[in-house]
Amino acid sequence: MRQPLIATGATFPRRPEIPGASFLEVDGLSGGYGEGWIFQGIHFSLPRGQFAALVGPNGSGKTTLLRGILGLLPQQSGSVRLDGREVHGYGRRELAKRVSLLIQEDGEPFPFSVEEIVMMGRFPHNPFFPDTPQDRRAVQDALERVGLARKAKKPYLQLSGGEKRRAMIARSLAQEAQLLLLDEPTLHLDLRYQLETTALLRQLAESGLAVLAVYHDFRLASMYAQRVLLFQEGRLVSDGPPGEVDPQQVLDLYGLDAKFAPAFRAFQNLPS
Amino acid sequence: MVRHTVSRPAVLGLLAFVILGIFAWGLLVGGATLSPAEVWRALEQPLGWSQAPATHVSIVWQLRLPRMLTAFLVGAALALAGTISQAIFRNPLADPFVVGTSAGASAAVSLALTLNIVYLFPGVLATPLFAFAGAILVTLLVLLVGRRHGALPVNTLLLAGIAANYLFGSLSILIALIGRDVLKRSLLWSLEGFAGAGWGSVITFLPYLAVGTLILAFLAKPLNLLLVGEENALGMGLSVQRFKLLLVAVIGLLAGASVATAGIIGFVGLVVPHLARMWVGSSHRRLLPASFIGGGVLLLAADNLARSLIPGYEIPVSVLTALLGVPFFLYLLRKR
Repeated sequence: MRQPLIATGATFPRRPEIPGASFLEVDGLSGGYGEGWIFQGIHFSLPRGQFAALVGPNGSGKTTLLRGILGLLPQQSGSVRLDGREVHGYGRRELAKRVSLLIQEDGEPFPFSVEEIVMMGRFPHNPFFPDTPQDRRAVQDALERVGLARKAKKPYLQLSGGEKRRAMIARSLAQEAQLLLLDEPTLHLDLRYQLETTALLRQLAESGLAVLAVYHDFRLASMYAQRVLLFQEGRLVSDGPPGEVDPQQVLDLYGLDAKFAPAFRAFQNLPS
Repeated sequence: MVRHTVSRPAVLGLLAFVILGIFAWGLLVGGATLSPAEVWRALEQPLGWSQAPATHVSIVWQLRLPRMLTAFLVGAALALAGTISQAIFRNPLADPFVVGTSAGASAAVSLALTLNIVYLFPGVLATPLFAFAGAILVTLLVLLVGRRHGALPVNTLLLAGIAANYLFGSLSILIALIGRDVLKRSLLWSLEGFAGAGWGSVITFLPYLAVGTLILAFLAKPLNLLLVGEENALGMGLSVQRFKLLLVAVIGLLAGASVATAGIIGFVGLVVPHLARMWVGSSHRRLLPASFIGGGVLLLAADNLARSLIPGYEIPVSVLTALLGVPFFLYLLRKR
């Protein structure tokens, strides 16, 4: 397993050009939609090369936090630094070259090919003119990295659930984002695709990306994430490697009786 | 489905042949009966190769050609406006007629006629600019009233469109009644379609289409992004709200100028993008040119039909497009 060069959460002033400095630094972030805070006082950082899972029950505000990291909420306070710079200081396209947000949105009634979907990720690099050879190379690379190169010309709507998710991830890779924010990447997938998708995220982190993915399944996240952030009622209650998470906290998170504790320990013992 | 048949020369050749055929058909039909040979001689008259009667030359050059060109250009504009309406509302049933854009433009034209405003600036006709403003107003209204989470659900779109069509249709009539002396002109304008079109119509219309098309030429990629959801588009670097405003303005240009030129013509903007999508797929890089050509050819064919179906009598072209479009619309509605 690849270790981050500098431990997270250091207190000394950090200059952005230090290689290996945390790519994402969230400091005292609170956010909501204008009717009170959905999450409050969030503090964590994420270096390149790490896959962190943001785990919490449904409705705990995880997705809202992802939006808050990108500065998309109508009401938010605190600081989010990306590559050493405040997120607000970036233009939309500049931001998109560094971070990619994958949110599950309503069904997509318009037929595109897989390649066309992935090519959309090139928008921040080349928004108005025809695709360049560089764009096509980036799309090709991205498709190969997620194992979809052979399906490039296929209609996106004919892919399986897991392949669709991989196509979306390929789009983020074509975007050349170094930070991937994913909202429930395994939603509506069967076990095989849940495992494949989550393993792919780990693999991408090991190739140098920073990955923050929302999960409501602690067990699935623990199998591949190097780090688990437990999120309860809008606050981070735990942050560490999956093996070190206090089982009691996991039980509390889901409102479970102590007799279910072994179910979680079994997963925590897996080599991560 | 995604098909990549565009590059096949055979398909393109066939298409070019059909388009030429429709143009030739348009030159041959009309109130006066001219033989193909007579039309041909009138057509080449300006080259000085042959002698043709002045009336023939005038029929071909001053009536049929400009009318056909106007129908083609308006059809292209309506199809483009329909294509981007479908992207902005993220709804394959949207088009300037369904949404109410055309009704808004039409009410604004009635207003200009009633107030007897012919020129807004020296040399700049008022009606297309009024239509532009009316179209933008209604499109923004429907967008604001109907949107839920960035998309416009089919039900809401249809209901908002019905409301807008009723409201602005009634307003048109009301405005026309207030200015009684222009009532007839106003009604005629809304029904005559391309019957009065001449080179003047082409020259008035062309700048609007040219500006709209030029802007769209650079917007294929952000249009694609809109189709996959606003939040994802935002995440890929598109300033969604600003972009949608730009699109509303372009819809206003294209649909507004179309209404000012030929009255309300429905369903071209609905049918053509669908057929084009079946042919070239959803990517706007191919969809926009395909819609442009498809819309032009379809409306030209409809107008040819309108003036030749019943000898000596012209059916309003909007009636024909409705007869063609409504079954298609219902089919799309059922298919969902």
